[in-house]
Amino acid sequence: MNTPIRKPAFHGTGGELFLIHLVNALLIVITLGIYWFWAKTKVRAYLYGQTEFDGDRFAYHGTGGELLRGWLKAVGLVFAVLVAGVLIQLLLGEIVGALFIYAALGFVVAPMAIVGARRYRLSRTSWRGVRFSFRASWKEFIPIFVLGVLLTVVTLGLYYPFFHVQVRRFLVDHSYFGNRPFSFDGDGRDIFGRHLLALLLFVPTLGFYWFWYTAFRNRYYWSHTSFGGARFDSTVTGGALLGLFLTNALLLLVTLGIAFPWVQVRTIRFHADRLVLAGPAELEEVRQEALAATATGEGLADLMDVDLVGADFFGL
Amino acid sequence: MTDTRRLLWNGWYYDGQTARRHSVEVEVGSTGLALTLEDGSMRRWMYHEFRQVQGSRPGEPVRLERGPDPPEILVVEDQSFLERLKENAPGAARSWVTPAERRKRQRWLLAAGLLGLGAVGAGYTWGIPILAARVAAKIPPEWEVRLGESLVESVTSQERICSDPELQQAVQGVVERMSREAGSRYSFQATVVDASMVNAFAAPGGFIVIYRGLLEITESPEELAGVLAHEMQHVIQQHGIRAILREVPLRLVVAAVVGDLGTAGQMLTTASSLGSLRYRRADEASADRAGVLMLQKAGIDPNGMLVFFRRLAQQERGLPEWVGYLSTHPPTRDRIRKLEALIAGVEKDWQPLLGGRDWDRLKRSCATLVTPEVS
Repeated sequence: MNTPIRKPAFHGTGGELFLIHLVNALLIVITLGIYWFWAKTKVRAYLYGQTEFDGDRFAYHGTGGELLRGWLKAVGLVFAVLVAGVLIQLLLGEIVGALFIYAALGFVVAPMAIVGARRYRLSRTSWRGVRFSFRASWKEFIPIFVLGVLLTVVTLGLYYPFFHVQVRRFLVDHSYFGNRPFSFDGDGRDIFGRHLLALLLFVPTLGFYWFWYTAFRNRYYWSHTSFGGARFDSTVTGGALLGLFLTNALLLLVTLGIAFPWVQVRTIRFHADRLVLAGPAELEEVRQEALAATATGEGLADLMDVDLVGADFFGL
Repeated sequence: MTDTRRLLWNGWYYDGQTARRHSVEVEVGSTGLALTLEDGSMRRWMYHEFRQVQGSRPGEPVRLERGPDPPEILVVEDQSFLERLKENAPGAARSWVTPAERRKRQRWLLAAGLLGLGAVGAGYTWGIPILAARVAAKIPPEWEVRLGESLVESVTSQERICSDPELQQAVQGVVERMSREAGSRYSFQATVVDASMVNAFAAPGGFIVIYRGLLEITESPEELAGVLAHEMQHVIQQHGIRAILREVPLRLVVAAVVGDLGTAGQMLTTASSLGSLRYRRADEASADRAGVLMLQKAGIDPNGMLVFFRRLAQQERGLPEWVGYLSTHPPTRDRIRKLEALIAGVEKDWQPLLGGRDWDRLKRSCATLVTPEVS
């Protein structure tokens, strides 16, 4: 019996995406920026709709209105933290107030943003008519996040690969397609050595070794991500990643940034072309089980510029 | 071309409850679609019940959805299926878009976009200056004075002011004589800065700043009066305040796109740095014209202005330190010709300025204060 192999494919083109960006830019200017949320949604709907997996395309169901409301709530939240911080400064002194602001933003709002953004995005994504979802609260993520940050700082960064793997595990293990979870069985010890090597080689190789490390980590993460009885696998190599980076940078440079949509398309295609899901995924057994989610976390992620998630293909 | 007789299409059906992919045969009927699944079961989709989600981009499979969320989904890879649908259901078809229609729409959109861009450009070139002039007229003079004060201060705070009372009074006297005749709503205040640069500028609200360098190259008080008249007209005609107001919309748009209102505020306040302020060529011509008229009204010989600009034109080369005034007031041939035409034909008994006092001594009285001559 041969194992079924399933592959993604990306059908988007730079020209189409460029037109979308162009119309978006005009509308953003005309609306003094308000259209930004709808623009973001339109780009996502296009990118998801052009991404095929095993013969069927993804669909994105988010709306600009949701993003706007999420962003407003996020602004309100951050504002409340700052106001509370100022009050504490007045009552308990400047240092306590500043500590409060840093702790609240860094240890509560940032994990909220990471989890919230993923919750929102997955809940608005579907494939074969079945929604994805993320089934954990930011409250469960805070201990992992806070401990990871503190240990990373205390160990002068040595703990970082372990932290990174733990974040990945939390994000993947609580991701569902319909009623079935993804699962991650990676271990920080497996990438620790390469991480050290990458740090040591960073300066002698003028930073170029980092591409090989990133590719390694990418492959490692995918090969430890599974769904049902099937396992992902990626064939990304450091050389290919470097080639992608250099050609993208050159394209942007030569066209003064106008090539951005083509760069976006090339990058997604690059990752899609190298990804497979091998094994019995039992997709027939997957049942619809959608979950509600608001876009507040997404708004926070935009505000605080934390995007730990969207680094790879669809953030899985 | 679509085969208009073709009624059967192959596709995929998803029930919205499981991720199972059903192979389906679709029959296009007169009131809707008949879907036959691989197990022989049937689904009927009436034309008004479903919506098109994809299929109008090149190469994109046609995706139809029916019912509330989560919907049932029908995917047909062959895009000509859409055209067949539209022929069969003209009433419900309006919201379905084929690739050909989409291309047409895109062309319209592009045309509309270009038109919009043209409109924005026209608004920026003509609309905003008119609006800026209107708004400038509504601004209370006190605001202009406050703005002018901070401008002058930001420029001259690094410089020494010539405090020789006789010189100060002489320059101020010329300014006031003209402003009396012009009946302006601003009370003018002239300052001489002790710097060798050849420069002069006006700030909103009635502030005129003359640099010692410019003062020293004038050969008569009438020449100075010409420069002063020109600068005073910038104030009276609100050229500075209009230039700032013209900048505002562009900066706001830039800030909105960049998404940073903090820098927007900063830009608005630093728009007040004179370096970024450029009068338009029309403003310069208008200040020349009205300046000459103001000189004549005040009984001051306007030839001084002309003589001064002619000399600037002659000496333009080889004098890099003159860049300050020359860069903002180039004595072009066109400008001098216009001045000549304005002045010609007006003969009058001009009253000499400063009662014939020794101009050569007076104009240097600032410099002597700072660097006493050794000889």
